[in-house]
Amino acid sequence: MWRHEYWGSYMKIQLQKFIGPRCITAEQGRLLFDEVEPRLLAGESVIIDLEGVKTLLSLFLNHAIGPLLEHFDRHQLSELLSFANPSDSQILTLDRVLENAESYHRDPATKAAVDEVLAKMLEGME
Amino acid sequence: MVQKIIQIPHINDGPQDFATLFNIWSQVNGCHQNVRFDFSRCGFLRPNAVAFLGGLARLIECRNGRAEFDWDTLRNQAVKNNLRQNGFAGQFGYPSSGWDGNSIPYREDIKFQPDDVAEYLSENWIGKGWLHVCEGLKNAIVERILELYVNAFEHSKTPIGVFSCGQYFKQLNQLQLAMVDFGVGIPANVRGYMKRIRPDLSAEKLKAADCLKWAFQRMTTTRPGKSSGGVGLDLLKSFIRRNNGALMVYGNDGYAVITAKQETYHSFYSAFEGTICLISLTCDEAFYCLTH
Repeated sequence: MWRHEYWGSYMKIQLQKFIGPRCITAEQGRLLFDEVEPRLLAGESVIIDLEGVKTLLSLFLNHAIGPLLEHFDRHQLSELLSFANPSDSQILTLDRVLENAESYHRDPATKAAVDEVLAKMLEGME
Repeated sequence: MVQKIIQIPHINDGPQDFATLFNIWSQVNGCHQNVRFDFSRCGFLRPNAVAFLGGLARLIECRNGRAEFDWDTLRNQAVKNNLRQNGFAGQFGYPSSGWDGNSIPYREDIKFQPDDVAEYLSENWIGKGWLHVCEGLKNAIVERILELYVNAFEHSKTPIGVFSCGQYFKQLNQLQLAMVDFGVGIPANVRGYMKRIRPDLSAEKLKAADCLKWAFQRMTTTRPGKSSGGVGLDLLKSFIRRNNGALMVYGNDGYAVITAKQETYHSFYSAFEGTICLISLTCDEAFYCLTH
């Protein structure tokens, strides 16, 4: 069984070892979420090390990290959860996923407004 | 069983060429006959046509028909070489060539095997030496393109998988990749989503162009459940625009064109059930940048 490293009060998850070099699917994302969520809720800090991760997809992050925004805002989350060794492209993906998840989970009006765009078009036709 | 013969003409990647593909699809769709594809009038086939025809043959087979490519009618040597080099001919009963030239293999993914697809994109598409980028940038490009495969398997509910094919065009210094599925299609998916969340409105009236435009915006997702979405297509779109690439997406009765200079969404006079994505990258590493 894979054991995570503890650095003082931080737990470090080496994603390449925990999931693999390609982090793509929703199922993989949920595995990471199940590992991280209880620790963050207990006030523990977590570092996710992306060293050796070749592929980090938004679908994976939408399920691994996105739902954490139900419990924390981005500022609170950044105090507890951090990422080590991301590539430029991975920073961009993380940024977009977190921004998106924050709106989705913490600002339902934004999500509703997105859906409303289509509804307004239809109402205009009827 | 009676056999239907379908002529394959020259097929490029303009709107008229996609209409030709959809016309071929409509001849096959709903007809429970065996089909023979005749190449005698064909002098040019782009990767979008190759992936589409391969998928169409599997669609016919999945409906208990028989699809046959009549290799004796293929007299154009360039098309023949290309179909042998990319492995399409080998998949459908004609020997493949011993060398792959400027082709990128024809591929069928019945189920999503992310590692295999990532390897295909990394080694057979970007990694063949036409685009000189470092390992990190190569991985980054694969990440963006994989978003399309994820979408195809997650949202299209494709019954027979995803079909891919590519080509390097030396004179244009351009690398192309086409992906085809015969699933729900983006406009139909968006209309279905609207029907679920606003049953009081006539979602079927939504124009395909508006559905596609909505789907390519940030935060939009038709995914049910409690997870956020709507990032993948937006990231891909940004990547294409920043790096002087081009992305065409045809779905149902609409299409989207995204380039560095334009982002346009159209309703189309021709239609099919499914999605075709055609990505073109310029093989000049000076363009490639992934930061904001």
